[in-house]
Amino acid sequence: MLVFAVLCLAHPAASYDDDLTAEYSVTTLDDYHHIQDFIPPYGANYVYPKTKHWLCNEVPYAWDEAFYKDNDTVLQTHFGTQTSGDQGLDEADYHIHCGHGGEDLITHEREICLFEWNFGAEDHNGLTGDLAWDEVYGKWELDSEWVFIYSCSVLKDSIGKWGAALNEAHIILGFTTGVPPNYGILDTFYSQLIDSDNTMVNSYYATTTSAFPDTVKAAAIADTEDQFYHDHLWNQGEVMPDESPNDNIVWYAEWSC
Amino acid sequence: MRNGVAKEVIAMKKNKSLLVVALVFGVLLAGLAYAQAAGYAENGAIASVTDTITHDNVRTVNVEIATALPDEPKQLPIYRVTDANVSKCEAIAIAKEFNFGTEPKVISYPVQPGNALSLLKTKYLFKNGSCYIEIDASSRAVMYGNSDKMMRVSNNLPSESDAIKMAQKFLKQHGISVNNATIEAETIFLNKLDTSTNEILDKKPMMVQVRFKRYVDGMRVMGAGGKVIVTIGDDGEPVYFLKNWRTLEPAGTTDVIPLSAAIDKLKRLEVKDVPLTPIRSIEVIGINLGYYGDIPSEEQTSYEPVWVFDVKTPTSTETIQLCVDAAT
Repeated sequence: MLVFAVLCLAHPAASYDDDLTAEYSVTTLDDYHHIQDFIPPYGANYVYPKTKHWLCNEVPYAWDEAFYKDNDTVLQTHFGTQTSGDQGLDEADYHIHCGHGGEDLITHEREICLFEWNFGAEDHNGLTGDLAWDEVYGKWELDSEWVFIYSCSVLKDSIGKWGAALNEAHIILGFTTGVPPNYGILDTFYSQLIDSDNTMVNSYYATTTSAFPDTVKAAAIADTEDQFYHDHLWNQGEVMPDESPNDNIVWYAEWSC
Repeated sequence: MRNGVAKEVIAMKKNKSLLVVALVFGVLLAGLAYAQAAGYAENGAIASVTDTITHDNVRTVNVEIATALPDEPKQLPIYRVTDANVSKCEAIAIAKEFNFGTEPKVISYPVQPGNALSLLKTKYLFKNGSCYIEIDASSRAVMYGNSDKMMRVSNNLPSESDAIKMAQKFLKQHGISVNNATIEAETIFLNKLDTSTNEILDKKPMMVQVRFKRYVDGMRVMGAGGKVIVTIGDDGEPVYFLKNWRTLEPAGTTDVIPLSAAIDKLKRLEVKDVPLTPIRSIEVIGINLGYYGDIPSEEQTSYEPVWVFDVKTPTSTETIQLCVDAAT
């Protein structure tokens, strides 16, 4: 940790990590109570181990794991819905979530489906039903920099709504259309970030265009224009400063894969 | 048996026969009425066939066919992939075409970390300043990028039609042939959005993405494979290039499963890429045959036909393509 702290301060980056510790967190859902499961479990078999492998074994200084939760242990609070106490993903620099994204048939909002998700029949206020944009609005202000939502259509028609979560966090990566699970996407993404020292948004562009057919649309939302252009993974290049105070402006691009 | 009893038995048998006929007729009438109500139709030219089956099991979906049914070929060609497993020397030769002369970094990683039996994948990375090129050993897929110039606002971005010409010129310069492809172009913008009003305050052009989408025997190659992308940046400079276009040679034919069998697989979501969204029902609005091209890291040995279903779900506005293996 001391080495990381020295590196962060010595590195010619425009910013430093909020708590001087590079941390990642992961949530995956393969198993659901009311809807289709992923068989074999894509999140547990690939998303989590690949994230851990690349961020612990393939970087000069291993990242710490803040938490990994799966299936019925994934709670709304893991997405940083609280501004005190357990702040979930907001206590880690990078978070990846993989699981179904769906439209709530009552609110017609795109949301992340948790274990008890049931097309709107779930308890919206329950901890394991759904996660909608309004539950993280303006909430990511602690340690979070980058959040990758690997789910169908969560950003569809709601880039501004989810973008509003970026209080002091930097970038959300996600999809505005349906997207299939893909075994190679995370290797390409982490290799772009780590081996090629590419920026977060460039890496995501290269990853999504190589991994999916052109019917899939990806989007990257940054809190500031500089973050959009320049943010790298910690120790792989520049990271731009957090935005403070929050100006309610986000910068985004959307493209066909 | 007495005569009187025998007559009674015969009369009862006749009555039973009439009853059975009446029951069968009634069932047929009810079936016809149900079929009409459910939307069955038998118009071969513009068929609007509804085939709705409800399953209690959440892992199956309701499938409604709302399109003309295509011809069902008994057999289709299959193709052998000839250029898998790229050696380091071959990778160096490919990189040279893009003016990279350095020794590559060989990147190896497990497909499933933590699983001792997991396969290892390899790719070769060449770097030159802000430019890089990656060659995937499993597929000969090539990815080139200029990280300083990708996703940057352009003050002099070519039109989409000019970008197509520039992309074609770039491919020609590097000896890359993309026959049997459709071409599309799409400008990518950086949008400045006010989250409190959801108003886009500014829209700055960054790059034009030119996509070449592959066809084999007139049929679309589905999946992530079968495409070339050239992304044109400021002043018409190619800033990103992706080629996932395997070389194929004929390898005989395969029997094709009937469409009804493919629909059964669709109902069980036995498809190539299951979307990351829960599906209860789907409306099929198009059915075609195609081939399937895999991701760059996959060592695909052959191209085989797939049934391609263009579907809509109750909550999707875009059309999703679901592919079912068509080879027996």
